[in-house]
Amino acid sequence: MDTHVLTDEEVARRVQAGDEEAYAIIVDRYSDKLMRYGRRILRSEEDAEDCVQESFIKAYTSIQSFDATRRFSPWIYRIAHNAFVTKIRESARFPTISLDLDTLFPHPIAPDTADRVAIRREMERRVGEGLDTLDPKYREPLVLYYFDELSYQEIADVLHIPIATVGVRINRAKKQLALVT
Amino acid sequence: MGEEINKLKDRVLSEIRSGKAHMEPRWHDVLRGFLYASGAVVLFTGGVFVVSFVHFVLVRNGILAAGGFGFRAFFPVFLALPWMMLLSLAIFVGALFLLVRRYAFVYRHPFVYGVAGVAVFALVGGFVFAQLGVHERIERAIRMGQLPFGEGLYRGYDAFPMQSLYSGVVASPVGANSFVLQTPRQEMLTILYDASRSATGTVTDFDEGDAIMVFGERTGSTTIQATDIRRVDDARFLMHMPRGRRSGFPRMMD
Repeated sequence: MDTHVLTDEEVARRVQAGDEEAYAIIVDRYSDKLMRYGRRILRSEEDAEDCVQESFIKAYTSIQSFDATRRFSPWIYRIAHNAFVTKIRESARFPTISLDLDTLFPHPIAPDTADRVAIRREMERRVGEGLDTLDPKYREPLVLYYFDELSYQEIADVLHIPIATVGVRINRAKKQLALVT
Repeated sequence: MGEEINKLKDRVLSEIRSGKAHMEPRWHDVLRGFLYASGAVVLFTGGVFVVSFVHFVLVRNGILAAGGFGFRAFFPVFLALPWMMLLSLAIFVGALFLLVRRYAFVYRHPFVYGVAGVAVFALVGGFVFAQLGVHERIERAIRMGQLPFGEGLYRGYDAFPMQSLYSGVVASPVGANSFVLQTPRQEMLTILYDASRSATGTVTDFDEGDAIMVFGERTGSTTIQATDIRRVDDARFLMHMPRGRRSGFPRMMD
């Protein structure tokens, strides 16, 4: 069977059924993505590599808890996010936020529309240039949206924050970037 | 860069193939889910119990009935609220929220919606439970010595004294300006009132043997100068009143 035609969820189902070799497909598909995500959040190649490796191992050990009727990518991104947050806390490069006002109250939901290609490319360029200047809580949704192309709902599932908060953070991040780039 | 990625893949796969990393069996996840669900059920049940108990105390001590006195009764009522129970309710709601916030239907919505949703569930459940009369039956069983536990909780809130608010049964014929009130603590209070004042306009609504609440100030050791008097017909309020003819008490006589 050509494994390229299998969806992530189908591959995950195979792994759940005991086909450990099928996990190589998952690792193959997500190594680049998670490394890119890790580099942008942690700003360290070595830390990103450690965390991504840890995330793959964690995903494998707990793959039975994955609900194969749902999308696989937010699930594995969530595991990676947790590994990155733990790493950040350990190194205490910046204070972690335990209570975030953005998540407390309802906000009007900013539209989760695909920007026109040109605008999107321009934003990707700006994000690439100005990412370091952003507060970490704005950096992560921006990276997931522009580089990993996750939807607002998927980002909400990765970060465990309200969907409306994803929109608020992305918009605030864009405004901050507009000032520095 | 590609080489680094390949090394990463190799390390992950070799850990899996060597057996260093092994898949947790499905039942681990099922057990985890069961424990979370059990915790949520325990906390929800606790929250429901506390809400219904608070409701029981409010009705029983006449705090709800005191609302009829209007804003001037606000501070006495505020001070008489069962704050420890309300604090424990807040703890139950908070703990339940922390437990369920891992689920998408909670975290996808703003924090206030999540907390409010959990609180509303506990409140609705508590009010429904309160209608079953379970606390009244427990309290009666404790009073009759049939239950070896719970006395501290139930009797602790019994006839809770409230500043400026006095409850009891009218123990004498209602005179032109005074009558005697027997409180749940068997205290006999002389209630003085001015029948011509509109504030005590409800005074004609009650008679000897009725359960009432009096709003007024203590002017002597057993004398109260009433500014308002209300009859209370709620059977649950009347349960701990002194024996006698108690109007509005047909259902829960023991």
